[in-house]
Amino acid sequence: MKKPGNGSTPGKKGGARKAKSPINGSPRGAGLRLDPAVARWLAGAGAAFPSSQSSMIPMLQSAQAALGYLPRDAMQAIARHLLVPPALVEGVASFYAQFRFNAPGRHRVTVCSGTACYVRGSGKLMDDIKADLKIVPGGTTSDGAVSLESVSCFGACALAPVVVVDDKVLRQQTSASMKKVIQDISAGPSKGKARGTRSTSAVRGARK
Amino acid sequence: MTAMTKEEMAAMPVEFKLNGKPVVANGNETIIQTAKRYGVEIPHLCYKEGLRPDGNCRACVVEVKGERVLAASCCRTPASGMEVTTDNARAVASQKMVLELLLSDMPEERHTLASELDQWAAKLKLGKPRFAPRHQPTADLSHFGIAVNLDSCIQCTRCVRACREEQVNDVIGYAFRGEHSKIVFDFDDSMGDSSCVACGECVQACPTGALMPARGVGLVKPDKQVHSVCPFCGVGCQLTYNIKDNKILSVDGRDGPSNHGRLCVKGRYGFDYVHHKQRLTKPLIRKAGAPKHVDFTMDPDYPLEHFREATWEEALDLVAGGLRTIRDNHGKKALCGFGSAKGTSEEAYLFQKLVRVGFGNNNVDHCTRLCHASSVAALIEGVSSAAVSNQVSDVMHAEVIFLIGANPTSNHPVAATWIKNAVKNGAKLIYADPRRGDLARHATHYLQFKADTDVALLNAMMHTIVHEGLVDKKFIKSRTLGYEELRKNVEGYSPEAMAPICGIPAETIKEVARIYAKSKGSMILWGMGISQHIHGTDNARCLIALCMMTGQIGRPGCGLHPLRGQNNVQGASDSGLIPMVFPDYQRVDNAAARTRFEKLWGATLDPKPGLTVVEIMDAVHEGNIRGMYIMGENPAMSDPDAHHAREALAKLDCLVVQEIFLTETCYYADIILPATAWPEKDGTVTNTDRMVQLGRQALTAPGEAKPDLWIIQEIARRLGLDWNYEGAKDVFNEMRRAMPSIAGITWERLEQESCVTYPCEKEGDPGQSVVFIDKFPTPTGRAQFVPADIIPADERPDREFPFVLITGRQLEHWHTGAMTRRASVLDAIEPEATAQVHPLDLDAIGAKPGDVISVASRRGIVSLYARADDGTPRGAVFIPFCFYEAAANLLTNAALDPVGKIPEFKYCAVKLMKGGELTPRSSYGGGQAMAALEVE
Repeated sequence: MKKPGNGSTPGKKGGARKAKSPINGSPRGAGLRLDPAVARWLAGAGAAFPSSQSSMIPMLQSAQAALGYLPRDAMQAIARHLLVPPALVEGVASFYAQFRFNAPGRHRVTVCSGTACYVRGSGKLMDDIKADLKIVPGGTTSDGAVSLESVSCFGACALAPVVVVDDKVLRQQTSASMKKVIQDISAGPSKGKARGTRSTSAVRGARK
Repeated sequence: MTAMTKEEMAAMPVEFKLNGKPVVANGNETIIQTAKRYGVEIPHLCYKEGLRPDGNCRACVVEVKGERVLAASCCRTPASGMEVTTDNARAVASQKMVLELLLSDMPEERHTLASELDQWAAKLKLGKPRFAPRHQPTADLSHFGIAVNLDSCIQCTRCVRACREEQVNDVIGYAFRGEHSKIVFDFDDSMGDSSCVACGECVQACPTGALMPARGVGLVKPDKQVHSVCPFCGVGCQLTYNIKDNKILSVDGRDGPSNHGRLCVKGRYGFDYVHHKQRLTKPLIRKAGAPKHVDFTMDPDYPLEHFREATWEEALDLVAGGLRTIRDNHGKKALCGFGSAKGTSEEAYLFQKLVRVGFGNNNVDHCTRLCHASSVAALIEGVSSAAVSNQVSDVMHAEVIFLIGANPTSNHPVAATWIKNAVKNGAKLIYADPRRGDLARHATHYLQFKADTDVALLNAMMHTIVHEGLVDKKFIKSRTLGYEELRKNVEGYSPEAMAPICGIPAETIKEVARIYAKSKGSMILWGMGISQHIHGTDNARCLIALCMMTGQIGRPGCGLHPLRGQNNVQGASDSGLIPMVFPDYQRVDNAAARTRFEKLWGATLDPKPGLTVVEIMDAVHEGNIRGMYIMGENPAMSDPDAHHAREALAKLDCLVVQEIFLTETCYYADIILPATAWPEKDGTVTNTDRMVQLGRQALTAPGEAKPDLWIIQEIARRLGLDWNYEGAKDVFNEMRRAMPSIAGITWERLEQESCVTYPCEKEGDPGQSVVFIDKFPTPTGRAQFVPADIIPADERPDREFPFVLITGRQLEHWHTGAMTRRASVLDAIEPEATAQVHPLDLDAIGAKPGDVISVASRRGIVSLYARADDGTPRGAVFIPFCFYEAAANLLTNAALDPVGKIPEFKYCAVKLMKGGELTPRSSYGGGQAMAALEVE
């Protein structure tokens, strides 16, 4: 349902009306105004890709590298550039775990759930972190500070349970030590440039 | 003997054993197809006839002797000598397990009574499934026409194939991974927010009710089904109404020759207009003293404010009296009639007969004048036939499709699907149109040439063909006349000189000309973008010349196809609803033809051609025409310069309107006669492919509404004609005597086959789908080249009116909207008038998408919502003409093509301004109320 004022017919004469969004005049978002960051990427790196379906994954990777995630505008731009159905871009992007659809937080906390780490208590560790951050893996805290992820194995089993925070590998973590780490990074400055402040409830696929 | 090709090998019959019995598979038949032919049932879900087999559900597995694993019979073709078993313990155990697993995920309450999964489960005697259901997605009820209940989804991907491979609307996809995988619309949007065009193909494909018509339609059992034809566009899709208690519950696509089960949003969800509360059910007579002037409007909910109800007897007597008085006092020529391309051919035939015999003149016309009159004029002049040479589905045999001045995804949606399928099969699509329609996405070459420069573009293409020696000399020599004049004329139109005029690089013009000329089969399709110009006839002449000079005609997969607009514009024109010709295009000023019809009709006929639609309106202003009988047309909306047309309607001494709704034209009527809607009567219609198709009565008409044939006949009788037709069949039989082209079509054959293609001159003739094979129906048997030069539009943009107005239709609404704006789903999807403008032009006037803008021409002004559309060229604005509250035709220019007498709907000068006052009333009710409900 489109919100009045956001493309839909403004005014509420005779009750709210759902007009087909006037922006959506012709299918495929003709007349779409791209987000400036997406437009910059498309004009630069994006334009270099040949308009063929085989460019899809490299192009998605390029967009994510430039933008930190795959905003809707980028997916739309890719569909138009490659002349493929939007649903096909959605199908490919949502299939691979490497692609994300939410703006990442300023810091990334990745908890290992591999066998060795699990035996050494990473299950409980993850539960406590989730409770602490009030998000589930794949999500970002409401202040945009921390994104939480889970990964199957880091290949550092001797250090189990392992948590990687940004690019730093933390060995033999406990719930208490992680609480402190998270406090520090949440309060501290960004490791780099902030990449947007959007956050979501982190349900898989929810990104509107 | 030459060796067989791989294809020929594959097409050979294959003998194998099915459940121990010898069977033969034809050509590329799969095991399941062969089994079906031999009456052996194999359970299947993801397989559906007509769709590409996918083999994902594994319900159809069978045992092949000697193979380790079971094979999916839907995508396995048998090999010679193979022994296949469908019903042994191993195969059945596997089939049952698949069904049981799928069944365990089904919701307690089904969304359809006809779930194929349930049907197979019952056949295989499956009990309650043993497995726990998985977590189910919630319902998506965001679309007005289609309910999405993925809890019933078995991920068979039939909807994906229907959407992406059949209709090629490319909305549905299959996304996510593992247990999260699901069907998505675009970027996992809700269906209502996606780019879905609601063709409903996915609903028709879904085996389990996960996709269903909205509002629980699938849970009601229809009490009858009636096969008929869609009443909207010229494609002529066959369909089946599902009816309960004299109401249309839903509509299914039927396997007709032009649609093969496909429909579009109008054909599938546009039928509840017949049940709309504003249907006229009693004859109405204008009250004495009721105002009647150009700006007069009324509320269709309250007809009795200005009209009073009457009996049929009184109304018909008044009609006949009124018309007779005018005939007696002002002469025969003071009367005229507008028929309709929305009615049946029988109605059209009887209507024109009434005007010619009863009124005594040839002042009878209909909306063909406003759509393809110029194409018809050029075709009659060039090849002596106004119908298409090849059928739309012939694009499947074409190597090159040249589509110009048409937007089939909106206006001929099912025809567009054949074009998209052809492109997927490797055909090249050259698409030329100033407005970039959705088909541009599929085109090999898209040419966004400047509006009004068709002749420049086409002459430049012909110039290239002549200069590069790509003409078909043999064809020109043996089958045409006048090539030398044409050649000399195009000499002056080099691509280099024309490039700046039409805005297409010379190299591109040359390239498409070469592609068109060199291919084995090039088919031209065109629409109103060609015809609705003052040089419409010239535009069509160029297309005919292009086709003739390259010999691209007379075979499958080439030829000329003007895409006809209305469901029966071909039939109505064939039946003689045209002022200069009798049925079958016999000129009224041809003495031999006239004598023939005088004999057939037993009357003296007027030898002078009558007036056309726009000429009639002028004649009313001049006081020469005083009485008008309109059957199902809405000139107050459809005529150019609508203010002028409405003034004429208000000025008439006697205006009789035969209608199903109180249309804008009825505001000026003296007598309104309530008629029947399409599903309430029998009759034939002829589609763009020259297919005569039978529409069957499915409903009884409301109140005292009467069949149109009955009404025409009653008026005729009161004008002194002794007519006794008993129904459509009776009229059709007389038409067969009047029209050689359909002489061979019997009513019984239509009842049996639903569709017969003409020419069909003798009974039993299969009908000719491709014509002009070895000669043209001209006196010499040859086609005539007619050169054309550039004539600019009548009204060019200038400093005061810098924009070009292009008018046309949109997908959801039909013509003047009388039907579709009262169809709740269509009204809910497109409830109000919008103007499509390029986003940069919107910026330039300081408006945003969704703002109210005003568009003014020298003739009028309308205010409506702006919609950004980068398919609309810079400097142009597109307005659909179906909205009374912002009637595009208040702006259009009534200048006429001198030959075809068609007005220039596609070009006039306007200015754009931000802001304006919207007209308060903007709907007839139905869809908007539903839309409001869903928002709350």
